Amino acid sequence: MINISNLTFSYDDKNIFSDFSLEIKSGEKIWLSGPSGCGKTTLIKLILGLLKPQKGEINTSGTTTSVVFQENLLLPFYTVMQNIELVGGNAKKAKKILASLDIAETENLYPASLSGGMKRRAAIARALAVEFDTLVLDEPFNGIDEKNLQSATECIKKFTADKTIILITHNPEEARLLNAKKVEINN
Amino acid sequence: MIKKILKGAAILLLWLLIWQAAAMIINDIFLIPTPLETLKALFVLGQTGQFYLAVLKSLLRIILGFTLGVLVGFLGGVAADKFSLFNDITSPAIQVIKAVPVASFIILAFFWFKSDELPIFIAFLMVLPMVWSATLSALSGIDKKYIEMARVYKLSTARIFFKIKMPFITPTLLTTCLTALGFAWKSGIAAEIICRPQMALGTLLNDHKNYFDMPSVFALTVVVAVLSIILEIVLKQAVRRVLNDKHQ
Repeated sequence: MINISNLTFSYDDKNIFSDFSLEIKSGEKIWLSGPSGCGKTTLIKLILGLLKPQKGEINTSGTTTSVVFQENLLLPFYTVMQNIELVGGNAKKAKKILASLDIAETENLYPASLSGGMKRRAAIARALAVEFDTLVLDEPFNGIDEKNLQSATECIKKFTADKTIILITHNPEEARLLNAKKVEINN
Repeated sequence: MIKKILKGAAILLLWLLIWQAAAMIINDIFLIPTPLETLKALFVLGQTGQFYLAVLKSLLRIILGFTLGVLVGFLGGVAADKFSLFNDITSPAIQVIKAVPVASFIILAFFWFKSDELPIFIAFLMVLPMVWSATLSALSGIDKKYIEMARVYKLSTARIFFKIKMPFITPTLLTTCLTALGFAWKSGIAAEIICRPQMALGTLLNDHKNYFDMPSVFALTVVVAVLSIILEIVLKQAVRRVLNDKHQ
């Protein structure tokens, strides 16, 4: 369970959150929705521990988290599999995930030789191949075409059946495909 | 490949002809000896064991200074990236080393070091700020999002450094080393000319200059240039191999 209570956070003089609270139960799938700049990505960074709250508390009670960032962040000097293994991904599981994302052939390829959509799916594969309780998805389907969107969402659902999902997307259809419950962020 | 070799040979021949023409026009062996006179002087030099010892010791001194410069420069750059206070303190010193002409350092260090050690120190001093600055700027240029990603997956600081930061900075570091080697070689020989250590190419150059033996001075200059090119080729091959391995 992730418990955010009375969170306050601002960048210099721009207030992002003041006294914000949210509880995400284990296994829950939520979709953080709101206008650009409302603090969705900031909230994710706070949950991931990359930013510290100025006031309030974020209790992740020891949950392990995996994430698909807005950018792919695949290291250019490693193959897709090496990228997965570097962050602790299991090779056997990774092969299954790559296959279910229709990019099995990219296992030994470097990111530079992949198309935009393939890179995105490789980033999703990396996030799914590690052990986690919570999966954070920040615009995970950017650059993935209609044809592959279905298989990508199916793959995520398959490997996150009992896991918590925190999704950020501007596309309600993606949230619907992942059965994610809408949580409006609007400060 | 053959076309490339032929082209190289033709360019070399062209420059030899220009040299020959200049020597013939000036017609004074004390100013510009002909390529043939230089070759003869090189042949004479090559018959003495002293020449080979001088080449070997110059190479060893400069490679030692270069290696120390790379090591300290790299560690300094890493520390400066990690600790901003250390960077603030050391940055003026690095700027001063960069700005002061090498001849000034040679004269200064002449009083601090034995003549045998001075070229090592000078080569070290030329390489240090180049590698230091390149390491610092390459490390600070890494997209922080990669490091954030690694932190989310709880990668240790050592793993982040060796598995993420090092591969990112390696190309910059290697190309800087390539440039620094040329500087180390030239400044090291310059230091040898001024401080005249025993068994050194610079000392031989200085001695032959004092005897007005221009063909030998030219021959030794050619040797210095050829050795510099060979060192550069060797390092370039190593750099290419490393970069090809890491960035396929």
